[in-house]
Amino acid sequence: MSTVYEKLGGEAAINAAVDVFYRKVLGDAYVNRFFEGVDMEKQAGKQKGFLTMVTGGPNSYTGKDMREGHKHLVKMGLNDAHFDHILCHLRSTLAELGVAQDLIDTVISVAESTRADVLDR
Amino acid sequence: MHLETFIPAFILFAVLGLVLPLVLSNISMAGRLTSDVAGDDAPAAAAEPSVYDQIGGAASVDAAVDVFYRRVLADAYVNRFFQGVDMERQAAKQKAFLTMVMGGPHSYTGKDMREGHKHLVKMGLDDSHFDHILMHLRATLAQLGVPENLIQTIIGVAESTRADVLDR
Repeated sequence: MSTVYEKLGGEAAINAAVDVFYRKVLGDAYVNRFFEGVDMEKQAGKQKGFLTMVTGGPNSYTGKDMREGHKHLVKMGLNDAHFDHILCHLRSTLAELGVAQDLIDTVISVAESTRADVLDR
Repeated sequence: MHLETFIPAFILFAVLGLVLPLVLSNISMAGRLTSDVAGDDAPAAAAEPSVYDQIGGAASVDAAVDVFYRRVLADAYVNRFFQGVDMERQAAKQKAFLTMVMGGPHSYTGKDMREGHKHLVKMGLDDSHFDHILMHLRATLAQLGVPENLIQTIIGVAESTRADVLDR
């Protein structure tokens, strides 16, 4: 069974998605404070890793990474509402790129499965 | 929900322009209407100024409508539900919606919300689309500098309309 990553078109599709996704997240005043002072290039690499992971592509993400990588944000007040925003931006990004609804649902459920780790609970 | 009997859904937006200025001066009425829509979970608005008043009333709602509308229409996951919609009528609806969730003077009822979205539910409107609208509302309010506690109150009111909007 091929992954969503493969169905979408692999790395090229992910690169396109990173651009769109990143623009949406940074354009959202409710969540963009969590990206203040962040190295943009490193962050783009992380977004790519995240999108590759949620689409089932080759990645080395672990629950521990997710937990450790967001702990400082949880201390800044990161909560379910912010996580919901990221999920919405992901859905919007995929819809904008013409990804079919069933694939969007699959990607979102993988992203949803990281919630507890991201929010450190 | 006795208000339902007052104003049938189909004339709601036609009379909105007339009703709004009349009700604007009556803050206690605004409080009553807020509780009516939000149900028992809503914070009591009788004693203190409503969120609507705290954030600056009609002018703030106008500013919010612009930002909110732009965000929603730019969202490819939800904008198909606005295809073929009369933009001017829609702006009035958005204004009424934002006024309602901010606790301002409005005449929204659960029945209106249900009837007004039934055709969208048939088109596939579900929880995920509702989540997107909440997200755009939060993003809009944050962009306008509304403090987090007021955002949460507003989102709580918006959340209370979910079952009606999704017709269940």
